[in-house]
Amino acid sequence: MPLWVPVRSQVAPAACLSPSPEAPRALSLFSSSSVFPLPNSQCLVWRTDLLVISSFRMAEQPYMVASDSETTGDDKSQSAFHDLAIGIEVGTSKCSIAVWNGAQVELLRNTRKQKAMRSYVMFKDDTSTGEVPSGGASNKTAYEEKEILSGSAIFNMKRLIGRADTDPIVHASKNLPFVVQTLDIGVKPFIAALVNNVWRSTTPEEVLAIFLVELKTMAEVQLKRPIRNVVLTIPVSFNRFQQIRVERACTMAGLHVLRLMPEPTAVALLYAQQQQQQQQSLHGSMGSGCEKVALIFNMGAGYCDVATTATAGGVSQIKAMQGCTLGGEDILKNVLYHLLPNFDSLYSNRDMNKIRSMGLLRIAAQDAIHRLSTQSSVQINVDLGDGTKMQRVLHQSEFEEVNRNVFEICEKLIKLCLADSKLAAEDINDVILVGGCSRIPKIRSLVLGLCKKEKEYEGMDALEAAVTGAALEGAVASGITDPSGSLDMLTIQATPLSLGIRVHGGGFVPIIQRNTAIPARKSMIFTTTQDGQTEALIVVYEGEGKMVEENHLMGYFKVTAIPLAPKGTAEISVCMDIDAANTLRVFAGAMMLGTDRANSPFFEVRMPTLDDAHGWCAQALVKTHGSALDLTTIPKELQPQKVQ
Amino acid sequence: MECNKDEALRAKEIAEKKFLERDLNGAKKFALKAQNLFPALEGICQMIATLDVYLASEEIAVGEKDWYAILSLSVSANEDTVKKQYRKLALQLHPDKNRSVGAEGAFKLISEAWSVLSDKSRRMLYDQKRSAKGFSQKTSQPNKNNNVPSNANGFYNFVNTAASKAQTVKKSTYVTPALCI
Repeated sequence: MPLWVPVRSQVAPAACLSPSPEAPRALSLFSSSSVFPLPNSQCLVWRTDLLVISSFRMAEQPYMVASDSETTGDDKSQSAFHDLAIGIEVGTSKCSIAVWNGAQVELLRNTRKQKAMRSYVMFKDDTSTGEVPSGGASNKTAYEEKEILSGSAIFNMKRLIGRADTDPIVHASKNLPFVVQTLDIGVKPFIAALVNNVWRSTTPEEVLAIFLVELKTMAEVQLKRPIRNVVLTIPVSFNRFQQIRVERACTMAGLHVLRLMPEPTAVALLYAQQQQQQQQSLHGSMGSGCEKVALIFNMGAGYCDVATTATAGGVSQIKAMQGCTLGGEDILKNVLYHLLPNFDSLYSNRDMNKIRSMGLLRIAAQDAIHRLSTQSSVQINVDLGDGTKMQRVLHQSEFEEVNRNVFEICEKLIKLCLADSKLAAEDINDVILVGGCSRIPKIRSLVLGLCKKEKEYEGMDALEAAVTGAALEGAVASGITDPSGSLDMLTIQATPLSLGIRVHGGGFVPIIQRNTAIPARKSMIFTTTQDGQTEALIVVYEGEGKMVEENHLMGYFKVTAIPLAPKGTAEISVCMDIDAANTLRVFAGAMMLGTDRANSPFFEVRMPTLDDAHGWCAQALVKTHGSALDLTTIPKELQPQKVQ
Repeated sequence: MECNKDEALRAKEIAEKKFLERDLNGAKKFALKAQNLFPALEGICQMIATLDVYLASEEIAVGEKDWYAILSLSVSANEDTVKKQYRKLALQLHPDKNRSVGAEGAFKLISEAWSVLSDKSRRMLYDQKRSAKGFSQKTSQPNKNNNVPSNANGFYNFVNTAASKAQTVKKSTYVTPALCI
């Protein structure tokens, strides 16, 4: 079994220290080690105060499941099920797990029979507990929202993960009950939970990992098999840093990410399946049928995504995607500041009473927003506990007014997405609305209005569509086939952000354009900017800005052995490759003059190579090297026509 | 029957080896043999589909690949046919659906072909170039080809993706660094 742990610093401690090259498996001891006794288990203590992670040497032979597993030839499908990837959607607010059960997708429930579980980790008395009571320990306390808001729990990790302390989203998170400190130097923000009246620091990754361990344990107990492979949904706007952090959290939790799927593409897969089934029942055959174009609008608590997809014959092709960090949290914040204009100054002091009253206000505001989905006005009555009582009516119109900016951004995203996919409202057959915020009347009318539709697509549960699609992808990508044909579908993913390199003068030249179907491979030829330049710096960025500083720096490396030549004549080939698992590799090297042969072996670099402080690195590179190692583009007509 | 299956498996293995050795014709020959011996052999259809795309990609038309041949389409194919054929091939070749070596590379090729032929202006430009050079109007023959590598990068591409394909389920961090060229 090859090492699949990303080879980067700070990878899960369990993975680094494990002497076996196999995948680390991490489980919280108290919950499941008794359920699955494993051989060769070795424990290592990782932040003893939080959680004990044990790393098991996983034999090739998986766990012995109760029934004697047959290993004869025609047991292939059975053994395939051992590796069947489950679908997980970790939402900013709620989370769910689903799995292909051989005939359809099934959502798992926790012991309180919930399919949607609150995403948070409670730090209390030297143990950590998430919302998910792991099977064996079903009597674990279910925390009430009030306690989650007491400062002892960390939530919204999906909003915080992979962001530096200069990020506006991190700044906006400072009004949460737990501590988020920013020093604006481009590093990880300081995040801490209140434990025994002391603020204890943690990181969003760590919190996500703890939460995933809980989910994994819960699924293992219910499915009676070890879980290793997962398909995780992510927001469209997640850059590769954020994706790496999510993967790292999974690694810490002993999970292997088979695919990271932007949420609307998971929904698109479910849509493809539904269309396929509909057509089969209509025509009784597997005709490729007519093409249907759908616009998917997904808005949850933390993120808003829009995608367009063209579906026919079970194949759903993503035409374009747009996403941004906008969601229920922003709506809630707007309402909070509307109710209490001096919210910030009121809660700058974080003593216990202040935190408690802030939590109560949050709950009241959230409840009001939910009720406004069906009522034109709601009464807010809340005793904030510190002598202040809030009694007032919130009208629909007021709500829409304070959230005008939110709706404007939604509108902009949809328009951008339609323009990117070269579609007009008339070309759209179905409008699919998913995510919690899609229940807000103003948002529904806005999306439907822009698509010139009377009503939305029916037949999908707004809160379960993404996780269902993820479980379908888990089955498809695990190689499961279904005799009835209900897995004969595919989503052709696209890259949501352009990828390219820096050229002389600080410009950004995309090599893989956004909305390119993946897997993909593209290359371009660049040339030197100095006479006799023998080395060049390949600085890789992700984003849409014309200048590199508007984009995310992924990493950099040096191409050497460029043949001596006057500036503008040497040829440096830069190739970018995204595989089916969305891994980005950059290949670069100098060509021999006038040929298409390499002058010396190419470099292959898996991106991103950087961790934090990327802004600094870019500045440092310029400061140290000036433009001595710069590259520049060559005219289009000189680009080789062949596409490799 | 079973002995046929064993034979077929062996032929398939040889085909894989030939493919990794860049001998596409040899690979195709053994893949077909495997299919003849045991038509129900797992993954054999996908393997042949993959090889056909590579073989077609060897064809160079006007300094570009023969995108029509890659999608096994005639030059006169209309928009709808192009779309259908691309979807059909995508279902056969996408790494989610096809576990044979090189599937990923083959998928990239058909995606590229699709991006040229589905874009009206790009297709027109490409067609113009072809007719200017008097390139044949009839269906390109994917199987007619020479065995000379068209460009070294192309081979680099498929060897590399083949290696990554082999480990795709485990998503290895590192692919055997197939030496560039």
